[in-house]
Amino acid sequence: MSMQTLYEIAGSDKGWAAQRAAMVIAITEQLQAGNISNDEARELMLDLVRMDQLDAEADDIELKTALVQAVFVVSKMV
Amino acid sequence: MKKLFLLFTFTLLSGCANVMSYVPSFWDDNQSSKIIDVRLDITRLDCSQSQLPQVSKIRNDLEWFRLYSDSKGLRQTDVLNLIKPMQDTVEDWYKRVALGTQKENSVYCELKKKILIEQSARASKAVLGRF
Repeated sequence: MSMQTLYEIAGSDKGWAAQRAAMVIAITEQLQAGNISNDEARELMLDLVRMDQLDAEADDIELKTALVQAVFVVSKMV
Repeated sequence: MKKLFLLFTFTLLSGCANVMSYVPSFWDDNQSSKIIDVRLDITRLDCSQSQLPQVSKIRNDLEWFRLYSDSKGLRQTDVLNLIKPMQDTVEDWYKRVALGTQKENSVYCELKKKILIEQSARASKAVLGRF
């Protein structure tokens, strides 16, 4: 993926994807400016991957909660 | 007849186990309070100040959450999985500043803070949104 694609995603209205792209750009720019080391940049990129894992876990909890609530409401109606 | 009863019990229990995998952990006052403590620690993080005590505070609060959830027992796997990525993010930072081999980097700190703000906001929403 080129930097141009990242800039396009960051400028889009794609919510989380735009946020992630903006973070990748920020990390890359700081690396190129010499403000962070290669090792620090690698770790920050890994944190972005971890963010996706956390998102997936949060979505899972929210979906299960919605399911339990729906079952609870239906059981009251029966 | 005995075999039939055993088969029925096995089917019933495996069915329950399957259903239980769809049931999330439920609301807990202590978990809700602690996840907001973590969010507050991160929001108040000041990268112009010494990073070690601030990162240690976040690390300790997350460890408290993990130990409490773990001690609570069954059906806490979802919240434990939820905070694991955040713990890993903080642990890398803690190791870096605790070693003290290089000067604390405020730019790295600001980027790390941005990531943790997003992670903690998402985790808090999930923990506080439970039934």
